[in-house]
Amino acid sequence: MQQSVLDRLTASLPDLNVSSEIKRGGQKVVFRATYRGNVKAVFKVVMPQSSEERERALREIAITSELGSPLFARIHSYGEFEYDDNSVIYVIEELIPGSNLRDLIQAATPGLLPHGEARRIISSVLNALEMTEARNLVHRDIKPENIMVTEDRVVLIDFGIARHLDLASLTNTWAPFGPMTPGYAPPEQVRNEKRRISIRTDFFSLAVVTYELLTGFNPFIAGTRTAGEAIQRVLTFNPPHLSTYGYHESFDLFVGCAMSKYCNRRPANVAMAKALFAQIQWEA
Amino acid sequence: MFLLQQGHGMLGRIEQFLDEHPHSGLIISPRICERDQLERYLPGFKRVANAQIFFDPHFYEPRTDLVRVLSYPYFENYNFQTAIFDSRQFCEEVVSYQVDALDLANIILPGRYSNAVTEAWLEMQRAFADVGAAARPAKTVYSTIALGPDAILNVDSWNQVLDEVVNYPVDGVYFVFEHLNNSYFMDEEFLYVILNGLLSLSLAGKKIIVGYANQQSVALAAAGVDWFASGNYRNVRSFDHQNSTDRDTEHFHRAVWYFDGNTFGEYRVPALALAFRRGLRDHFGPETVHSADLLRSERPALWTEPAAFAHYLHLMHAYCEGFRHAPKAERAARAMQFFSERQNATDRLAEAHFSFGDRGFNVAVLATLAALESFNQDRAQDIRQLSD
Ligand SMILES: Nc1ncnc2c1ncn2[C@@H]1O[C@H](COP(=O)(O)OP(=O)(O)O)[C@@H](O)[C@H]1O
Ligand SMILES: [Mg+2]
Repeated sequence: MQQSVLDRLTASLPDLNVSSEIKRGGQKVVFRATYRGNVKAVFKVVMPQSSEERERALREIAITSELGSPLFARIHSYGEFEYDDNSVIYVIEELIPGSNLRDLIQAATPGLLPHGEARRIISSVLNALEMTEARNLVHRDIKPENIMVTEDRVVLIDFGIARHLDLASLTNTWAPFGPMTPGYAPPEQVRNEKRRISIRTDFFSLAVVTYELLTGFNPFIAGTRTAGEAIQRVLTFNPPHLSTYGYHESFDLFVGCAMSKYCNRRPANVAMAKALFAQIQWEA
Repeated sequence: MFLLQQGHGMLGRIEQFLDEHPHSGLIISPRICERDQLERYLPGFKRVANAQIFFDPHFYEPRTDLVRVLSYPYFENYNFQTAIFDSRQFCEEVVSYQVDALDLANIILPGRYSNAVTEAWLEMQRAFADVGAAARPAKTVYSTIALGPDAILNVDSWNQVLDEVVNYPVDGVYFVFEHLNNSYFMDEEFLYVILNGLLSLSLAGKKIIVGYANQQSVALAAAGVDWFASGNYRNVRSFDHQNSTDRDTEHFHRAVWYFDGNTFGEYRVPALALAFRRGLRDHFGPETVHSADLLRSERPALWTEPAAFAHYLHLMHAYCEGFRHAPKAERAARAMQFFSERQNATDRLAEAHFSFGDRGFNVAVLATLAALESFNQDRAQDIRQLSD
């Protein structure tokens, strides 16, 4: 994304003061910022790749901004900035004062979060999905990087923003397979089977996150060298049951069901996913 | 739970059946009557309080040349000679006929029969569902899924279908399937696979109608099926997509059979007479108003086709009602119990050296139980999540 465009955009937003950059990808940049004087905020700028993507992003941001739940980052403002013959979408949202789950996993010794934390995080994401389900939204990119954790909040971020735009830069070979994060995206997303995308798509990714929190590794990524390999594994490899790592069978009810290759075998809705999750015997 | 799905020439008996069997309904097929005939009888069916009425648009084999089917208006503009087929417009016309002409509360969308799932088929099915769901939001809309045994037994293709149907924006699914090797009963693997698939649909909140059902089909109640449709002749008790192109005269089994609810087999009257003479009378039953004379006579002889039909439908209705009264989550256990009872009755007759004949259910009762047992075992978690 051109710096000159960013400069023109920020100049047009007098309420915003951009400070440091958090992350820069091919089509998206994330900054730390302040909004209306002293409100700590995050400023995200996305360059949609198609008019379809643009419309979806705007629609989803509009819906997300109305969710009004601590499970999501509050959106202060958003809009579209047109320049020359192009446009970018920007969002100014609440800064979540915590770490993303990826950083937490990496900082944990010996690589695992306490069970209580894992349980709090996954059940919070299920609560978040309950709200998006009611609005017919599918996140499509649930992974540790998109879950922010503070002492008293778990927040599902990267919602309603064109995401998964990085794949093309990861490997061109898999680009035709549609937008997604290798190792978290289920088979129907990998194959870009649009008619099969639903809340069940998010359940698969959440099951992978759960597996990762409990074992310390993503079973589709560990030991692979390329994104393509991870994708291949998602299509063909069935990870060992959690009981092989000493977990009670009840863990496999939730994870096994939600990680089914065929989405018709996954929980049909959040209520069913929660019912399975509630059966996990954490203490055993 | 029970829908009448009659064959040709049976229109006259439908109204009385609906009157006498509460919580029932009917699926009318264009195959059995021409348009004006149907529209003449329909007010009589509608008069029956709470009877659920469905219309099967019969699009299984689009190149159908059956005059009766083609007399329906949605086929007017439909040109099967051309490759250009506007599935959306066709679907709209099918919906419009059911709503604007027939004024039905339930809509069944068209569905093409397939025994090899292709992208084109999946796309058309989804287009039908999208159009149908959007067209009349106030109606209860069912997608037709008509499949052959190869499509169902192939793990990938069956799951592809299910993966898509769970996301259809419709209220329910009208499911019809051809059996393996044209057999009347399903073997255990086939039944197991269908149970699993229908469970996914039930859990996705779809109401399910199983069309062209026979006595064995009620095992599918285990997966949360809402309606079973069946009728008098064998060709409405198991689906055959060719039915739309030929053999619309159905009088090819003239012998009159007695359907035995205890064992689920059908026996000819002479076989029954022999059994009675050997003191096996108590094995047969249960008795219905239609079969009382037969089962009580010293030497069974008089058994008419109308009685045989009425008796079969009466029992099917009763069995479906039995399942309806149980919560969906308990129907799998109930189905096990139900077919165990059939097996025990079958065993007792076999011990007495009763000859089951061509239409005995003895060939399928163990397979049915095996499928149900595996299903109960493997899907206990999911079955528990079925809600009513
Ligand atoms: N509202 C927020 N508060 C704090 N940190 C955030 C917030 N939004 C994003 N981040 C941080 O920025 C990273 C990238 O943001 P994200 O919206 O996920 O962009 P991308 O599409 O590039 O993944 C996140 O992984 C997280 O660490
Ligand atoms: Mg992200």
